[in-house]
Amino acid sequence: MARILIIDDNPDMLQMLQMVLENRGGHTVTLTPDGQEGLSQALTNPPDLAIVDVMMPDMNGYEVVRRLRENPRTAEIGIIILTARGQAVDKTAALEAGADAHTTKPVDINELLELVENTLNPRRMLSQQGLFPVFSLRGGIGVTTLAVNLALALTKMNINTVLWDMAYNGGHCALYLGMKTKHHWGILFQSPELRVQRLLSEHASGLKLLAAPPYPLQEDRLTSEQVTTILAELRQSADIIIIDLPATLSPEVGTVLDHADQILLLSGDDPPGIQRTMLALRARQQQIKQIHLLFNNVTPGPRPPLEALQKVLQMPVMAQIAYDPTQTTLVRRNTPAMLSDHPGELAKSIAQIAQQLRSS
Amino acid sequence: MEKLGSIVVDFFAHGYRVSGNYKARQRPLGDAIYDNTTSYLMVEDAYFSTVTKPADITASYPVATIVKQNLSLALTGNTDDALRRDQKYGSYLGLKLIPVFITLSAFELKGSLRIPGRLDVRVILSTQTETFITLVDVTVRSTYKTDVTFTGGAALVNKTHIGFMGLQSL
Repeated sequence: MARILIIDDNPDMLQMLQMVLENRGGHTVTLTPDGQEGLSQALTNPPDLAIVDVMMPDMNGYEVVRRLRENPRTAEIGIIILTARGQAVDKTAALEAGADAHTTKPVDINELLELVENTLNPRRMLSQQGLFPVFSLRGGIGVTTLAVNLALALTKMNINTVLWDMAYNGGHCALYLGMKTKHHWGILFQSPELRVQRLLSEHASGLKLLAAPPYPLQEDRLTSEQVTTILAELRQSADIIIIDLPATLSPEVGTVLDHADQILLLSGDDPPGIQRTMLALRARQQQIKQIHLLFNNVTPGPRPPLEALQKVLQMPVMAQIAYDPTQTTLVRRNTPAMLSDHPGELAKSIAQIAQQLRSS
Repeated sequence: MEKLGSIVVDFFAHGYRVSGNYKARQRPLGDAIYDNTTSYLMVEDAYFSTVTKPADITASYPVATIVKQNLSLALTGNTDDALRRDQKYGSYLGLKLIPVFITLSAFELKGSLRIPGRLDVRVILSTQTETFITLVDVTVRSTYKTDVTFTGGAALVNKTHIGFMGLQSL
């Protein structure tokens, strides 16, 4: 149970939040209708967490957050910005002002309760660090789609996430995200002294991207040392690293897999897809406990039963991603499924996978 | 702040972003914006920012008037919030989504037109009967600060401000 202060000038919102946080969250809630009063209340009796609206007439929410952070009595409390201003720039402004998290109205009650728990318990957030490469030995079955959308799903959960597009032949992550990137990891071949942080591009969602070179690399190949250095620097930039791996078991891919905390192995359910998955499983036998097997249905039609696939591959399937007919249109529009206003089956499946990874 | 029965809308005009509450219970935003017999739109709890610093609130007023003629676009989070009453229902011809790219004086927009039947650019862009068009699933990029983007379920775009419109095909 925590002491939560809510600062919002909308009486209906105050009542709703109080009811939810007291009855479902079991917290003690104090309400204040404006920024100035909320600030003095927080300084007099510091809460464990403050939920602050942005658009308030006397003092806007960003100013409230700044002043709370400036005062030693309230500098360490958890702060969530809850606002109807939900653009990416607004999220950035909230985090720059010093908030721990930003969420938008109308708010999903379950998401808010989860966000409150995560903000109250920073250790839980810290434990979410990890390196999760997405891998398949068969091309064209949606490794990039899964990597991009999974990274976005984690970012939406307010987890600091970086996506590394490791393709040698002009990767598609930036394209899928609708980003025009200036920098990419191919620059490291010309300027090996450059810090990887300088090559990251930021998507409007907050996701960081280490883009692939926009041209095919003929001779340059990342060495194991370079891969290890890049991973170490990416770990400094984000809590979770998602890597879109090329469909090969080359030495540099092997280095990434060696460092992985968990591997997302994507498989098709047709005979060639299963054969490639068996090869990959055999090659990474020593990491079998870290491998999560996923099936992605990129075509419509009947599918073999899950039990049969599990029996053939002799391991459990983490998720079977449903065929999503809207995916082709979304890719053409440079809109990843996770950012679509009408989340289809793909977005729902990936959100569940992100949730499983987070709690694993 | 979002009040019951009202929606928060981002209005963009002359380098400014105004977030305000529009009372949608009496009349949908789309109906009010498309209405050629009115020149203004009233919003409550309006918060002003410049487009170059779109998150910094420079002023706030309990009530603000939007001059429709000068409005470049209005952006809503939910698609339904921006649709006119008649656009919320289906059509005998079925609704098609047509991806478009539109430039305004200070913005470029990517989104889709949701129209029944064939696309006729002259009809779409004509300002004789309607001065706004509705785009769905919209990304707006500031022309002068290209790293600033806004996304929304729908946008009501002032046709008289459109410079170019790009289409996949005619």
